[in-house]
Amino acid sequence: MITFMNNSDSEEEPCNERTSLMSAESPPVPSYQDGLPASEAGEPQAHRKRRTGSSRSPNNIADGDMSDSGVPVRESTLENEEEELTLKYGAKHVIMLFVPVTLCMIVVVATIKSVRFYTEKNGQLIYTPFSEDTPSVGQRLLNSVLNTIIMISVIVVMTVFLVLLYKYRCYKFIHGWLILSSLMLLFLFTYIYLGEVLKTYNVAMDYPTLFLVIWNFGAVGMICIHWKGPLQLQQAYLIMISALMALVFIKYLPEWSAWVILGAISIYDLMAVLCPKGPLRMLVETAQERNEPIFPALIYSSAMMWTVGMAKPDTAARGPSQQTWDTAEDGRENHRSPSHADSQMPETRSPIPTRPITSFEELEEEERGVKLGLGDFIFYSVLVGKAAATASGDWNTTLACFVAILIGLCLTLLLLAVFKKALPALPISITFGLVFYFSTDNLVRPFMDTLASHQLYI
Amino acid sequence: MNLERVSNEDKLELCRKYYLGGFALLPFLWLVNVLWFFREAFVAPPYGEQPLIRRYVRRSALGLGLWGVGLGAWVGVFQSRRAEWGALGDFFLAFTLPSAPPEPPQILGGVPQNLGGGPRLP
Repeated sequence: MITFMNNSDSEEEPCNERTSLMSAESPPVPSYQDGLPASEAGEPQAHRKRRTGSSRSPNNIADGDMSDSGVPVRESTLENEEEELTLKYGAKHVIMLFVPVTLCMIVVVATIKSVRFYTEKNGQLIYTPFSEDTPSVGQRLLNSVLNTIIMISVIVVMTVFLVLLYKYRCYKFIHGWLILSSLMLLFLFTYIYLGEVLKTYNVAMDYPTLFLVIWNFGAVGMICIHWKGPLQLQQAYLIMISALMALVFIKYLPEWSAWVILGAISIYDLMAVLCPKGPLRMLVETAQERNEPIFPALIYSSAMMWTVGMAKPDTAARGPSQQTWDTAEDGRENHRSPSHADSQMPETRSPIPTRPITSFEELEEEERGVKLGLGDFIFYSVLVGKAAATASGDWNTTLACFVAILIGLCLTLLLLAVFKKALPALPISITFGLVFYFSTDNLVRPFMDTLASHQLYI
Repeated sequence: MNLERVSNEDKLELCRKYYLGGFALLPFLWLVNVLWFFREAFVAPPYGEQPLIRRYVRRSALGLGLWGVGLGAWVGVFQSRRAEWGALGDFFLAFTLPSAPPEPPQILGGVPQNLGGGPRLP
């Protein structure tokens, strides 16, 4: 899910909230392997984040009451300005999301191309029990569809479980789950990844140095993601764990199942975020009722600051807008992917028009940004990584998929600016990606090969 | 987290916690501390808690330097002398160098190169 973040609330949270610092961190893979929904982890964090945003509103409202008279008059103009600002800075948001998505994809593609471990078939996850080593095409197709059904139902179950946990306020459980997930991701998967990379480059490494490196990487990652840390470092860690998760998926999902799962997950995302009875939407609404932020640990947030001029709605007005939760991405965290997918919880928070509170002489600094769920990162990277691993067209197909995903992301952000509510970030990008992959692999590449072999340049 | 929106006391508390955390074999945490609070400690206009923040940043930098020297020495010694250590070197190693050179890249088209020749008739 993708939403606008209109509050610069994170920084001012009371320290027990800690949500702001954790930009969505999706639960690590363990959930897949342990059968635990990863998404759940994301949700509580998203909830917490939500709360942070709303905590500012009371302050803002108080300010607003004092300058009451001018408010109604300015409201409409301020709202218009508000909208203009949103659209105007939407382009910056797009660029700010391009960079992390591109970085994640680059890491995944570079690893796939250089480290053979991630393209070797060494078994499958328990979530995809049907093997694809069958002689007939029909059987293989059937197996991949069955795998997809199992995977999606696991995700749905986990999402619903998370929603129930959230509804019944089992915050500690969710929090513990999230921490366990990120522990596993940050330590175990990094250890495996580092091992494979070192093996590929024939570098000798001793145990003490290895222990030190992994311990530092993991501990600082836990601190940055779950507690307080510099924003760039937190973003970097989220990108790295998304890439690790995507690599695990690429390794352990069988060929055809991976493509069918990608398609099915974007449909699920669409439904879960937009349908009134979708689990993610219910989660968001529950969080809204309680005025709490959703766990942000599974969301990547690109915070950006700018100064708002005088007589503009000050941050108080943000109060209601907080709900627009850009952290729709957090929603993804739901179960979907053991990896941080939860961030994609369909948080359809309908943006509430901000109530501008006139602040005549103040210069308000507002932080605006867009939040993208880590599950989105993961599945984008899975698509591009699979294209890099299995396409016969080599770089052509990979680049085509990359461009397709970025175009999809642009369109999604455009829709976000227009609709101002949490939107699923997967469907458009994954659809474009799949279309580009199959058409480039099967149509463009043979065409270009034939042209090249006949020395015909167009 | 954006430091600009945090109160000075909170900044000091954060710097102090990062400094103390680094003692748990976490020089990376000290590095983050130095980089993150450098501007606050040395570039920003002075405020009440700044001397204390400066102290923590300096100490973190000192600790980081010591760790860097120690680690660099160990890695240098290990990488250059590992082969000579025999069994002890292997005990330390997590990932050894493979004994055989990596296989040559597969030629597209799949015909394995028969470099040694097949069995020959006498």
